[in-house]
Amino acid sequence: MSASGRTWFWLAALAVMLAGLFCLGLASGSVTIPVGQAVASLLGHPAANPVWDRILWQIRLPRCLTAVLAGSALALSGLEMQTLFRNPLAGPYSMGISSGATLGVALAVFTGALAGAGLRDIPGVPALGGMGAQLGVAGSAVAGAALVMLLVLAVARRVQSNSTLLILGLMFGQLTGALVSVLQAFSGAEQIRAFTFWGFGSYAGVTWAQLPVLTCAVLAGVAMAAACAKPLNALLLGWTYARSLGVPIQALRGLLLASTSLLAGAVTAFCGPVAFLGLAVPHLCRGLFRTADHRVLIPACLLLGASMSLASDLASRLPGGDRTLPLNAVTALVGAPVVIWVLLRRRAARDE
Amino acid sequence: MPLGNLHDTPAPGTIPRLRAEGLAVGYRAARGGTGGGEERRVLSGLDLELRPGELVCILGPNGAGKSTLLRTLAGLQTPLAGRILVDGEDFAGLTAEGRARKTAIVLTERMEAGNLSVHSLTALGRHPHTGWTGRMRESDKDAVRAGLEAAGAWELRARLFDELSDGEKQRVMLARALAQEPALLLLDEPTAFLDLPRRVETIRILRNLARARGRAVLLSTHDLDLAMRAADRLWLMPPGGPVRCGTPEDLALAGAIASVFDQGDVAFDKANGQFRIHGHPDKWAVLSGDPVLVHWTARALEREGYGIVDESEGKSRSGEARAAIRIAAEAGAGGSVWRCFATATGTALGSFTSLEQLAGRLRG
Repeated sequence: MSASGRTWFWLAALAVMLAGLFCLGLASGSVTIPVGQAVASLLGHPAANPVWDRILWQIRLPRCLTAVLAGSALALSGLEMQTLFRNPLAGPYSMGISSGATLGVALAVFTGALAGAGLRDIPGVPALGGMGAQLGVAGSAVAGAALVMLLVLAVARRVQSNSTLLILGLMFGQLTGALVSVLQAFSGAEQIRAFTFWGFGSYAGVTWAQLPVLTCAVLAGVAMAAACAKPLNALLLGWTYARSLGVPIQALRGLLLASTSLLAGAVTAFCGPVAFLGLAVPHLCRGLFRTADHRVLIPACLLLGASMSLASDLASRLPGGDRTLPLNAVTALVGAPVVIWVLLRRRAARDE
Repeated sequence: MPLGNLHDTPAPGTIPRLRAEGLAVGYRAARGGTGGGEERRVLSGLDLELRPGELVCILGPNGAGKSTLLRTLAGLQTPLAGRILVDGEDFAGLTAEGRARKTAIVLTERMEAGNLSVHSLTALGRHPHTGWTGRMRESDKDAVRAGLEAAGAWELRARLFDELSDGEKQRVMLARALAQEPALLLLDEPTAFLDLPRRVETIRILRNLARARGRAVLLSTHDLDLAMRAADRLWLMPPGGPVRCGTPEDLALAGAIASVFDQGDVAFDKANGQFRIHGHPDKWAVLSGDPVLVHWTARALEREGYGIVDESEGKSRSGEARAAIRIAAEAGAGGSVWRCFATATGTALGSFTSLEQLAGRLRG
C-alpha cells in the first residue's frame, strides 16, 4: 500500500470507529437504548419509548458531543505542544496548561460572581445558564491556560533539557494547585463541593446551552492549528532551520499559543482537567500513520482523540449501570502505558 | 605586500549572487522595546562578493565570527549595519519566505528530527516554494529528488533520519538545502563530522553544484588543506582584523594565511602549504640523502624536539657548530638506512633501519 493509500485507509477506519463509538455512546448507559432506535431518533423519527427520546436528546447527545469535542481538542493541543516544545512528553496536562485553566476556573468560581456557571448541574449548586457567566468561566480558563503557556514558552527559550521543562510544567501545576487550595479555604462548602466534582473530569455536565461556547472555542482552535500545519512541519527541524525556511517565527509562536490555550482552556472549563488524552493520542497517531507530517497528524489526532475520549467515557459508565468511574481514572489507565512505552522506546533508541 | 579588502570587479553583465556592502554583524542585546540595546560587533565594514558558480571558503580561528557572518547572510540574524544583496535584491526588503527562496543554510549543530523520514525531511526544503497547504507540484518533487541524488542520499530516502550516522545525516541536511534551490548556499563547517573520503566527496558535490547550476557556495571550515585545494577564493578572518579575500595561492604567497593562523606553536609553511607544529628546539640536526626520506625524517625529529638545519646551511660553519647530530638517510633495495653521527666528535651513533629505532636511540 502506498503511503497516501495507507493514510486514507486509516483516516477512513478512524472515522468509522468514531461513528461506531458515537452510536454506542448514545445507546449505552443506565438505560439501554437499541442503537437503531437511537440513530432513528436523531434522524427525526420518534423512538418507541418517549423516555428514550428525552434521555437521548437531553443527556446522551450533549454528553457524546462534548466527549468528541474535548477529545479532539486535547489531542490536537497535545500534538501542537509536542512539536512546539520539541518534547515527546509535552501535553496540556503534563506541561501545567490544564492547571492554569483550573486556576482560572477556580478564580471565577470562588470569587463568587460567576458561581456555578460552567460547572455541571449537581444538587445544591444552582447552574447559572447565562451566556455571560459561561463565557466568563471559559474565558478565565483560557486566560489561565495562556498564562502558563507563556511562562513555559519563556522558560523553554532558556532551558534546553526536555526533562527540566517537564519538571517545570509539573511545578507550575503544583503552584496553581496551591493557589486553588488557598482560594478554597476562603470559599463556601457548596462551591468547594462543586469544584471538587468538576476536578474529577466529566463530560456529563455540559448542557445544550453551554455547547455552543465550547464548540466555537474548539473550532477556532482547530482552525488556527490547521493554518499552522505547514510551518509545524518545518518546526520539526528546530527553530533555527524553520526560520531559515522562511517561517515567521513570532506569528507561529503566537498562533500556537492561542490555539493550545483555547483548546485546552475551553475543554478544562467545561469538563474539568482531563489527563493523558493530549499526551498519548499524538503518539498513537504517529505510530499508526508512520508519519510526522502535521497535515496528516492533525485530522488523525482529531479523529482518534474523539474516539479515545468517547471510549473512555463509555468505559467510565459501563460497570454496574448506576456507578460511574472518574473519567481521569480511565484516561490514565489508557494513557499512562502509552507514556511508559514512549519513554522506553526512546531509551532503547539511545542505547543502541 | 599587505592585502586589504579586495574589491573584486565583477565581469560585466553578471549580477553577483551575493553582495555585502559595509556589512557589520554581531549581536544586539535586546533591552527594552525601542532598540537602545548594546551592540556587540563581531565583524564590521565588510564588503564582500560572491559570483555565480563560485565556491568560497571562510577560514579563521574559532571566535573570528564565521558562524555569525553565515547566520547573518542566511537572514537568521539582522545585520547591525550595511546591506546584503542576493541576486541584486536587497535582503532588507524581502519577507522571511522571500529570503528562504534565495538562500539555504546547513548548520553545524547535530539535530534530531522526531519521526521524519529522510525523504520528508528533504521535502521540507520546498517549504518556501509551496503554497500554504504545502502541496508538492511535480517541479517540487523533481527538486527533492535532484537534491537527494546530488548529495548521495537517494538510497537513504526511506529511512528515518534519527537512525542515520553523523555522516549520513550531514548528507541529508545537504540534500534538504539543495532541494531549497537557493541562489546562495551557506554551510557552517559541513565537513566537521566526516571522514576524509566523505569530506572530499562533499566538496566535490558543492563544486559541481556551483559550476553546473551557477549557484554560489559559501562554507566555513577548519580544514585548511581542503579549502586551499577546493576553493575558488578564500575569505580569511583574522581575529579582530579586516577580512582578506583572494585565491588561496595569492593569499599563501602574500603571507596572509600565515598571519591568520600562526599562533603559539603552529606555523604555516609557505613552501609546502602545510602547517608545522614546532616546539622551541634547543637541539639541531643536519639531514642529508634521499629527499623523500629527509622529509619524513625531519618530521620525526621535530617531534623529538630537534630543529632541522638545511643541508647547505649545515655545511656552513655556524650550522655545523650548532647542530648536535648529522643524519644521512639512504634508500636502498633492501630498505632504508639512517646513519647517525655526533657532529662535535664525528663518532657514529649507529645506523638504523626505521625511524622508530632512530627516535628511540635519540630519546635515550
